[in-house]
Amino acid sequence: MPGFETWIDAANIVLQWQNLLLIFGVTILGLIIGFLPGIGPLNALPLIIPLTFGMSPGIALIVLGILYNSTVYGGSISAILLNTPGTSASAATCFDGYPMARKGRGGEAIGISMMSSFIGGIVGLAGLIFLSPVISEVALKFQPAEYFMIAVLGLVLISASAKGSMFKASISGALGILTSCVGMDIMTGQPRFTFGTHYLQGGIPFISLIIGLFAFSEVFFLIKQKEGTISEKGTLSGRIVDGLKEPFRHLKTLARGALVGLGIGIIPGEGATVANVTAYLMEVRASKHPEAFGTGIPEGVIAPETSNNACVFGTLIPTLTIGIPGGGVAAIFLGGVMIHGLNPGLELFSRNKDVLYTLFFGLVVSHILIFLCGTILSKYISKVTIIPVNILVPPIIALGITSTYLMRSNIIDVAVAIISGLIGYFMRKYGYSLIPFLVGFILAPIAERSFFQALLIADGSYWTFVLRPISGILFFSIILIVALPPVLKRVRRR
Amino acid sequence: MKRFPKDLVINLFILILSIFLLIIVSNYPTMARSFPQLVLILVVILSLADMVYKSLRGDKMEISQGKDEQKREERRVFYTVFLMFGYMVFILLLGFILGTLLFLIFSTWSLGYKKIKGLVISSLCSAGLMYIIFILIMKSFLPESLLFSLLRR
Repeated sequence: MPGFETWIDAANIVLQWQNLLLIFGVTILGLIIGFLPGIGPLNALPLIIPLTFGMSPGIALIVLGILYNSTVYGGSISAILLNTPGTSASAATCFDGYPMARKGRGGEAIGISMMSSFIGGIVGLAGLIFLSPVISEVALKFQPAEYFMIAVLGLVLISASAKGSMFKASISGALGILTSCVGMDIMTGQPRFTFGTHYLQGGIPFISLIIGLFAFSEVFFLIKQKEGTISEKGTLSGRIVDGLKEPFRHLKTLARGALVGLGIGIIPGEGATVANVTAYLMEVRASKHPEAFGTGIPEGVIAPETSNNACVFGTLIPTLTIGIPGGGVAAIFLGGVMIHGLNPGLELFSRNKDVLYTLFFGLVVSHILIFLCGTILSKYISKVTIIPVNILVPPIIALGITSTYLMRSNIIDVAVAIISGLIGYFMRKYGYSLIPFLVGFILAPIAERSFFQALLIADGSYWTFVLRPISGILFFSIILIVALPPVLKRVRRR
Repeated sequence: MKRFPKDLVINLFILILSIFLLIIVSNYPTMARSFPQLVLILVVILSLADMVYKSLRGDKMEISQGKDEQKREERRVFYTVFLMFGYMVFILLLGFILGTLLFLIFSTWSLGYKKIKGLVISSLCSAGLMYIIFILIMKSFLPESLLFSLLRR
C-alpha cells in the first residue's frame, strides 16, 4: 500500500474546483444516460473517451469510472419506475422494484436502490483499493472449467426464480438459451438458426431483446388499462427517506449482494448484468419466503442493487491488475487506460502509482456525489409514476425505439425489439416468466464456450470439471443446491 | 375462459417448434449442434411433462374475464404494435424530430388523451428533451428525412 503522501497528492488533484465541477457534470450526465433505456455505459463510454484526450490520465480515468458507475445507478431508477432497465446491469431490479412502484412505493424503492448501490459501491471500492493485488492472483487461476461451472450454477439457480409452474420456468430458461444460440457458432463459425438471413448471423442483439421483453411488453400491459397511472394508487406513498433506511434492516442481504457482486466482478469476462441477476436468484434461494419475490419486496431490490455496484468496481480489479477486462464496459475502460499511455499490471502499480491513486480517490469522491445527486434527483424523477398512462406510454415507445435504433443505426434492430415485446407480452400473459429466459440468454454463451474450451484443454476428459479444485467446489455446490431442498423437505415432514 | 386448453395449445406449439428446430440442427457439424440439440431435447421433455402433469392433475378451469373484454384488450395491444411500426416509418420518412413529434401527438390522442393543450405541451416537451439528449448532448446520428431529401433533389 502507498504512503499517506500518495493519498494527499491524489486529494490535491481531485479536490481542485475545476475537477470537482467536472465530476459533478459527468455524474449528472451518467445518471441521465443510465435512466434512458438501452443506452447504458457500454454505449456512453466510447462516446466520452474522445472527450478525455485533453485531460490528464488520472482525471480521464476518473471520468470514465464515474460514467460507468453513475449509469448503473441511473439504470436502476428506470428499472423501478418504468420496468425498463436503463442498463442491462439493472435487469433483475425490475423484478421487485417495479411491483413496488405499482403499489405506489416507487420513491421508497428508489431510496432502497440508492442506499444499496452506495453500500455495494463502497464494498467494491474497498475491494478495488485493498484486495486487488491478492484477489487477482486467484482470478488468474480461473480456467474454462471454472467459467463453465459458474455459468451452470447460474442456470441451476433459474429454478429458484420459478413462480407458478416449474415446467414453464424451465421451458422459459431453455428458450432463452436457444435464443442466444442464434447466429454464428463461437467454436466452429457455423451459422445456427439464421434461416439464410445475413442479419441473424450476428445473433439477436441483446439491447433489442431486453428493451422488447421488458419495456415494450410492459407498454402492452399498460395500454390494456388505457387510463390511470403506473402507480396503481395514483400517488407516491413511499418516501425516499424510508427507502434509505430499509437496507439496514436486511444486513445479511446486503452482505450477500455485495460479496456476490465483488466476486463476479473479479472473475474476468463476467459483468454487472450477471452479478445483478445472480444476486437476485441467490437471495430468492436464501429467503424463507421465496414466493414473495416478484411481488415487490425490499430484499428483491437490495440484493441486485448492492451487487451491480459492487461488481462495477470489482470488474476494474482484473482490468487494472492483470489487464484482463472484468466485463464489456471494463474492456472499453481498459481501452481508455491504454489510449492514455498507461499499461495495466505491475507497471501501473509501481511506475504510475500517482495516476492509480488519483483514480481511486476520485472514484471514492464521485461515489459519494453520485449517491447524493441520485437521491436528490430521484425525488423528482419518481413523479413519472403518477403521470397518466396515455401520456407516459408514447414517450416510452419513442425512447425505446430511438435507443434501439442508436445501437447500430439499424432499423431491423427496432423491428426485433417490437417482436420481442410481443413475445414477452404473450409469455407473461400465459405464465412463462421472463426472468429464467433472460438468465438463460446471458449465461448460455459463457457455458457453451467454456464447456468446449475445458474439454479441449483436458483432451476430452469430463473429469476436468470435477477434479480441478475450484471447479470441483463449484460442482459440488451445484449438487447441493439441487439436492438439498427436497432432502430438507422430507426431513421436515418426518 | 378455460385456461387449460390454451396451455395445451402453447405446449403443442413449443413441442412442434422444438422438433422442427431439432431437424434443422441435425444438419450442423457435431460441435455446433450438440449444445442446442441438448437444450431442444430438454424443451421437448419439459413441454411433454407439462402436458402430462396438467392432464393428470385435471387442471381446474380458470374463469378470468369476458371474451369480448379480452378481445378488446388484445386489439389495443396489436394497435400499439401497429403504432410502433408506424413510428419506424415516420422517422425514416420525416426525419427524427418531425417524425417523433407527430408520433407523440397522434399516439397520445389515439390512446385516449383528448385535451389538446396538454397533448401538445407534453408531446413538445418529450420531443424537445429527446432532441437535447440524443442530438445536442450525445451527438447521435439519427435518420434524416428521406422525403425532404428526395424533394430537395
